Amino acid sequence: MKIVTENLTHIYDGKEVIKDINLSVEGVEAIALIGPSGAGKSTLLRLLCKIEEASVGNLFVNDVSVHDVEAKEYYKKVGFVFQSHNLFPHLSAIENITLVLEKVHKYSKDEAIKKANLLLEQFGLSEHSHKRPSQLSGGQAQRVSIVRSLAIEPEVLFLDEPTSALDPILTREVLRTILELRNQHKKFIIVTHELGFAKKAADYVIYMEDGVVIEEGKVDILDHPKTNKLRQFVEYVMD
Amino acid sequence: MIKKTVHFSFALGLYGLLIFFIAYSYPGKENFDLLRLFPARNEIFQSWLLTLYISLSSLVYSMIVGFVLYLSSKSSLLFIQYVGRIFDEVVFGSPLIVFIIAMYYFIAIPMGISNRLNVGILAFSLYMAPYMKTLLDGAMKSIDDAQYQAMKVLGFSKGQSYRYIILPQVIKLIFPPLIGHLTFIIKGSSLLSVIGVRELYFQIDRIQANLLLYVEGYLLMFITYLLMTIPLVAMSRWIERKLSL
Repeated sequence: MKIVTENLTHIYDGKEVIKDINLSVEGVEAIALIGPSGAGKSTLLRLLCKIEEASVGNLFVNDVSVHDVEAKEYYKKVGFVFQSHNLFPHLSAIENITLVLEKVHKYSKDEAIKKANLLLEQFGLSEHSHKRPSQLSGGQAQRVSIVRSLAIEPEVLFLDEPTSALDPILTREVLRTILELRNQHKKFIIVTHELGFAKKAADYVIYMEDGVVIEEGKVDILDHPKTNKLRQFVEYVMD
Repeated sequence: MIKKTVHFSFALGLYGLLIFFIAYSYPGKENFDLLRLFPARNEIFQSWLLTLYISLSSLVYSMIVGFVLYLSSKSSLLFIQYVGRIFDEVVFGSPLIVFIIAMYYFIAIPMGISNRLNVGILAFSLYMAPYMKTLLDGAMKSIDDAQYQAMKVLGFSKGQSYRYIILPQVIKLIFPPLIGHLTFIIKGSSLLSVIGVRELYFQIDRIQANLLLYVEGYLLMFITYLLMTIPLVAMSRWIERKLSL
């Protein structure tokens, strides 16, 4: 996975939420975006995924210019998992997956069902495949949502605090699913507050504060921070 | 379940008593005979069917016009938005009977259109359209931003989003209140009698005047309208239960 940003700045509601970020990360599999609330982590993720367009600067994901690429083409290559599961409530778990495969990625109906079943089984969700989102627990729904994003075999998967709406037990369930992605060498960028999890799941960490990247590097910077800000943050969170 | 049936029977009994009391204290009860309307059964049945036809057509057309009004409210042209909003306000503020009369005598006739039935259906459809628009607007709002964002990042085109995600949900949501609107249309269709449409009210009113069977006529009106509306209400409750998964 290769992520490059050049002088990236984003203004939201008259406030600078991303301030001149220059990143160049290459050859990593999983990036954890960490930092206190309001640091701009989710905004950076949304810019990378073209949900919002950056006010100033360039950004590239695997050498694709996010600004220039056509949204429809881009979304065939990347997946996004939201804070809440965002499943379509009128469709069952499996239909949520097959609809995307059939209509957007032009799978035949049989292929789509086969693939969805395989993935649901792989992530231990087979018994829930015909349930509607309202019949699933928060954790199950979020896992289905992850499977839905994975089904299209994205080059990069973006996960925006996928456990923030869940209680600790359901959080573990979802985090286990994400660790499974790591074991399968899927490429992803995750915004998370769970530092212990970030250590296990990511091989690269970007620490942000107030719209600025304070420190970035291999995951062991969490054990040996170079900046005081990251050290304080790690101590505070781990305390 | 048994308890519910008992309560329902008691409530029905109460209304039975009320009807009995009204019938008992009615001065002309010796002459009361509903069967004397029997010879006019064909005309009454025809007009009953016509009322159904008017109501269903008005429902369909008002949905179409309502959808256009909904689109106008989302138009980027402020002028178009105002055209729709002024229409909404006029309809919400005017009685149906005035609307029907104005449509027929002040618009249709000067334009040389004299088909009362079509003008009636048109008037009704236009009158109901803002209500349909409100219904649609509410249903569309129930689809939250999260879903729109999901549609976007999953790569659905606008057309696909509407067809596979938005409309199936909207239709489920608007179905029960839509039947409520249909019963309103059925009842309101009696007002088309003011422009001489031979619907149920008009026909029974004419027959009861000819045969001097006023009480029987009004009773029959009650029964025939309820025969349309009660099954619809029951159906909407049933559908509502089925859909609330």
